[in-house]
Amino acid sequence: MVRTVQVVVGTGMGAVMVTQDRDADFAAYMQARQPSLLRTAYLLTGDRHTAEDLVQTSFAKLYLSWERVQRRELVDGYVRRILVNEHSSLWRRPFKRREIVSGDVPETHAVDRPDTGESAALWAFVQTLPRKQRAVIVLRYYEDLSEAETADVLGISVGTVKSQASRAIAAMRSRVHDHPGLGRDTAEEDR
Amino acid sequence: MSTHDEDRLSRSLHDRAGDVHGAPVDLADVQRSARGIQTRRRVVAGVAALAVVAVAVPVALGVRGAPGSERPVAPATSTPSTAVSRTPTPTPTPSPTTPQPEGVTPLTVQGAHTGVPAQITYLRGRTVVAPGADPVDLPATYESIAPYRGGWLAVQRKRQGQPYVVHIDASGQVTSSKPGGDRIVTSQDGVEVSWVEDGKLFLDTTNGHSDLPQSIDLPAGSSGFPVGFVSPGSVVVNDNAQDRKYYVTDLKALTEIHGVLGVRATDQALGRLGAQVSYDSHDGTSCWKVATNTGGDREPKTCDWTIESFSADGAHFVGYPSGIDGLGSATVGLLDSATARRVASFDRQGDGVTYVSDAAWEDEAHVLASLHDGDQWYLVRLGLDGSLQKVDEAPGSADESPFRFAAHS
Repeated sequence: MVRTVQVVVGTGMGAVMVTQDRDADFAAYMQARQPSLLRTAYLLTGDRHTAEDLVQTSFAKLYLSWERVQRRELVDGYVRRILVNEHSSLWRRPFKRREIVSGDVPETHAVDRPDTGESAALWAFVQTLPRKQRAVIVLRYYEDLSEAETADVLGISVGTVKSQASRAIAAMRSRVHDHPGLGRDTAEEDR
Repeated sequence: MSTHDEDRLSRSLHDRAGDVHGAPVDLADVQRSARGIQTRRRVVAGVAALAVVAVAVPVALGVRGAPGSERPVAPATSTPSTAVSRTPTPTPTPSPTTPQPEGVTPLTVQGAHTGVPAQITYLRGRTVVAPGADPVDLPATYESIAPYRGGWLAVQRKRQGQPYVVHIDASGQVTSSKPGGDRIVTSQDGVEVSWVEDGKLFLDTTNGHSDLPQSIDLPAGSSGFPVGFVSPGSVVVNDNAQDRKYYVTDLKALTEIHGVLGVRATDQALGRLGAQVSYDSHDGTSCWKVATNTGGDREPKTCDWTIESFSADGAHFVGYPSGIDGLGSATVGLLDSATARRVASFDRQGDGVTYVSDAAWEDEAHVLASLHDGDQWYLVRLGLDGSLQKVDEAPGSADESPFRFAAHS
């Protein structure tokens, strides 16, 4: 496999040959972050195959700008932003990828983890949320980002993050009504 | 303030995500995707090669081009029936774009004759164009439509892409709009229609001369869509859930289809599926087979083409080169469904901005395709005889075709 990447800057003004280090650096980052990003992508999409596709596309976009990501400590936020934005624009693609990007044919009798009751109701609820609101929920309550960090990733105001999260929780209380445990504040429990 | 509900939501998300393990993506996958993204960006920007910053990713990994010579395929074990009644066939005018050697026709409208109007219904922007009828303007832009009870059923994207199924009456008024699947399908004879709305799969006759629509609940938490009919009253549906399961249903019970990764095409004439059965993460290509409606082998198998849709008689299917991605396909193949061998193919010449974004069978010998060529969108007719005709044209951005086909199986 060829691992050298040629980066041409300008219009023929000169070329910088970046050695294997670049790809090795990128591959190491990708290997470390892939499982986590896949889980986030799954929560955003609700579909494992689409999540895999989303992660691959996000890494590809990161790869194209890898040279420009100067501060490595910001890469996580950057790729997370790519992931969320790419998910938001997936449905706009006129020619969606035809193939499922996984070699795993489902087991003949694959048995899912028992998923009834509250967990199923909550997941069903999350899947009904509009994409942006769902992204707010995933970033706030799965990635545990602060409101400010969530706002930064999504490119929206902190106020919007607050209102989107608040509305989602309110809707959850009213819609997942078959589960009486939902709707009580922690404070109530503490009393 | 953290509330009990927030904590439960957080726990639920962690529980749900904890079980997710995917196929690992390696550097080759990423580099291949990066090449596709670069190409797409150049096309959309209208820039050929002079990017300010251009990253030349390794070419040694190779990108498969149009399948020129198919890989060996397994022998066919079935022969498509010819007993199905034939639909009226438009008489194509001779095309100057004659097939090139090996049955390959240049995919371009340059020099193509204008053919007769389309014999199937399609959308041009907000306008429904139906054979033998005056064009009808709809109240909004829809992704898909199907005639239903004198009006229309349509799919509309709302709220950041969420698909809604919209009921439109004969006067053009929207009578209901609910979250649903992003696909509506009709039976080959146009009598039956199926869609997903509010977590249920529905089946009805398009003219409404029936009892209330039949329906069946989809698995909890899923948000599926119908793929197509495999026989009258029998629909293949994707649950669009974590493991993307496919079922065949008569609206009384759901029977899972095993051994397939994806299903894009159904053949009502012979009760078959066009199913993806494997994916090669190294070169990004996949293998497909013609399967029984329970997923069993029918053969043939192909690793060169996807199976997009079958002709009404089941004798042929439309395919794109395996591994294709981006704005559209620069190659369209019309293949024999008994052998998966190419009967005709249409291939972009050179490095122009030319690609097909969608295709639908017009009759048993012709396919209509939405073609972007130069800076314009065209509806073109592709024939099994290798002919290419211009049918309609409309302006539109490179990444969004104004032409969409009415629901079909």
